[in-house]
Amino acid sequence: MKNRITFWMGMLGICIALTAQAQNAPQRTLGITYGYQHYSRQDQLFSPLVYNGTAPLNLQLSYQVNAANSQQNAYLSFGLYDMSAHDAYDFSEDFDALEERTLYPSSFQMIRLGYGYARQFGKDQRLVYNVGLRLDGQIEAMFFEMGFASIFGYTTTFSLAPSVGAAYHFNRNTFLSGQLAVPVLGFVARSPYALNDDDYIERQSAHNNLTTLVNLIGDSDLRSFGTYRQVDVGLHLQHQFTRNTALRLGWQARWYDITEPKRVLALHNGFNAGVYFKL
Amino acid sequence: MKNLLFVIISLLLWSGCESTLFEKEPDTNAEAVFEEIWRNFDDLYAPFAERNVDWDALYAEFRPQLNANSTEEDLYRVVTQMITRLDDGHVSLTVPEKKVYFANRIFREKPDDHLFNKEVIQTHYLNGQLEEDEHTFYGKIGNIPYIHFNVVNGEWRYLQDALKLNPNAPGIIIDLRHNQGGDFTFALQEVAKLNPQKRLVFQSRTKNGPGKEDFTPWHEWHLEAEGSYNGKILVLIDRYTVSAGERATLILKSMPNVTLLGEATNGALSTMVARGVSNGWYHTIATQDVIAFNGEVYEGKGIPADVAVRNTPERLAQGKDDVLERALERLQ
Repeated sequence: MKNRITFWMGMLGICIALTAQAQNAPQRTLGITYGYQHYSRQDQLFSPLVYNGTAPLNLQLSYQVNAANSQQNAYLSFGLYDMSAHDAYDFSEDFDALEERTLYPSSFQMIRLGYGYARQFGKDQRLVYNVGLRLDGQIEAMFFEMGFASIFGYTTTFSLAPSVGAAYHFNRNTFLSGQLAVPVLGFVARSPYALNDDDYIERQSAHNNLTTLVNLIGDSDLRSFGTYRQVDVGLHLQHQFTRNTALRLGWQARWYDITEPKRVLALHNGFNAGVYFKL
Repeated sequence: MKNLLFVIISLLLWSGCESTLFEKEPDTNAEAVFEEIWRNFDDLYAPFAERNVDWDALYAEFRPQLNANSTEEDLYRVVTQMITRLDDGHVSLTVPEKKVYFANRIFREKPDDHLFNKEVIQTHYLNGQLEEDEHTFYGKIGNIPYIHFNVVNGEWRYLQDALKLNPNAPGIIIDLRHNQGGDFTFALQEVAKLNPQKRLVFQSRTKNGPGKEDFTPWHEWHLEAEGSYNGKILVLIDRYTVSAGERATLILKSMPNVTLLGEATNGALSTMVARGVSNGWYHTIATQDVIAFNGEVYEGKGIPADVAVRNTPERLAQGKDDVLERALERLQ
């Protein structure tokens, strides 16, 4: 665990150094985004079925620093998903007293935070390219409704990904951009094979959500393409409609495949609209 | 690189490409679902040996009862008959528009369910002030602190409050009858505040692979020494004391000043998890083996009472809880 913390502290240090460097001629932007978020997830630890759902409650905050030839972007997003693999149905149980119940959708909570740094090429042309690195963390807490019982599951990934992108400027105020990031390694933590083993029970025994989260993340394994594959893509159309305000329409998708302890395949897919303010 | 391009193109053309990005979901005919449920237990269920169940033999017995023409009702009948052989308080089946099927006879047929009656205790025994939360009630019987826990959760903090009702009492009665379980670590934390000496309470191991011997290493659970209570602790148990309720019983039993009264617990000490099945059904399953501090395995048998005593309907009707009476006698 000490090595992992050292690794992430080092990465944070690099990010701070890069941010300081960019302060020579920075243009800072703060954005807030809301949209339609769809999630599909098939986790063999819990069910062979694909769970699908949307997140009426979702939000993303981003902070961007543009310098002469570089761009930095920090983001934090939250989504609360109602997920189900089939239609709701009624059942009854009398473990304690007879009770009529309905099998409601499961609830998945997703928090994503990250930082990206990219060098830009061809800044004076219509088509601008960028190449960079991205640190991304995703925390998923899943509360599965499974009839008589409810089960908690989790997946956390903290990844380092090279990224490439391009932006096409239609005019001074409008551009279309695309981004692709593929992690080369990541620290991954998931529910164990039988979900509630002794290590898991011990890690949550402080009965404090933050302590449990730190304990679970601390149990991450370093993984690469063999057992952890992920692709992030995004397309954005931005229009500057006043000197300090821009509107951005976007589509983002993340697909991941983690094979241990049992395979999980997930696709997150969202359309969003955001307002960006120059600071 | 080719695969990566394929994934990116699939993402861009997301609508209708679910089948290319996810594994094919299993068939939902009766034979396929039976195979899936049988395999789930083969992969994940831990206490076959403790319950003397030959899972392969059950496959040989029940699989032939289904064929390509079998209906969902046929499947339900065969699966419930098969899991009934486990007689495990942690095994259940949830099916649309039906009552949850419990593999354990006690929870399915509810024999003597009414022989624990909290109204009798609250009306005929607890004097004066009664403190009550969602899953707990406590107060004094004469000068003896009494507390009942319906589950094992954060409400175990009330154990300290119950003791404070009369710190000079010769003991306390902790009633775990009809305790439905929960998270035993709450009991571990609260009982430690009474315990003067660190001690092993149980060890457990969990399935971590599909093989019959794929288990994690044994994990020892200890009761820490954070207190110095030396009064008598009388713990009341019954056949409906299950799961974490039984682990809590073991935690208490590991201390020398504890006496168990009532009848043997349910005998389902494992951890329970749930799993979805491809036709939308769900089952729960036990994934751990547990060995008590004294080397005993109580799975399938239950933790026996040191003092065996049962209530009767007649005496309860007169407002007499004989298990509680016996505990009070021992504190005279």
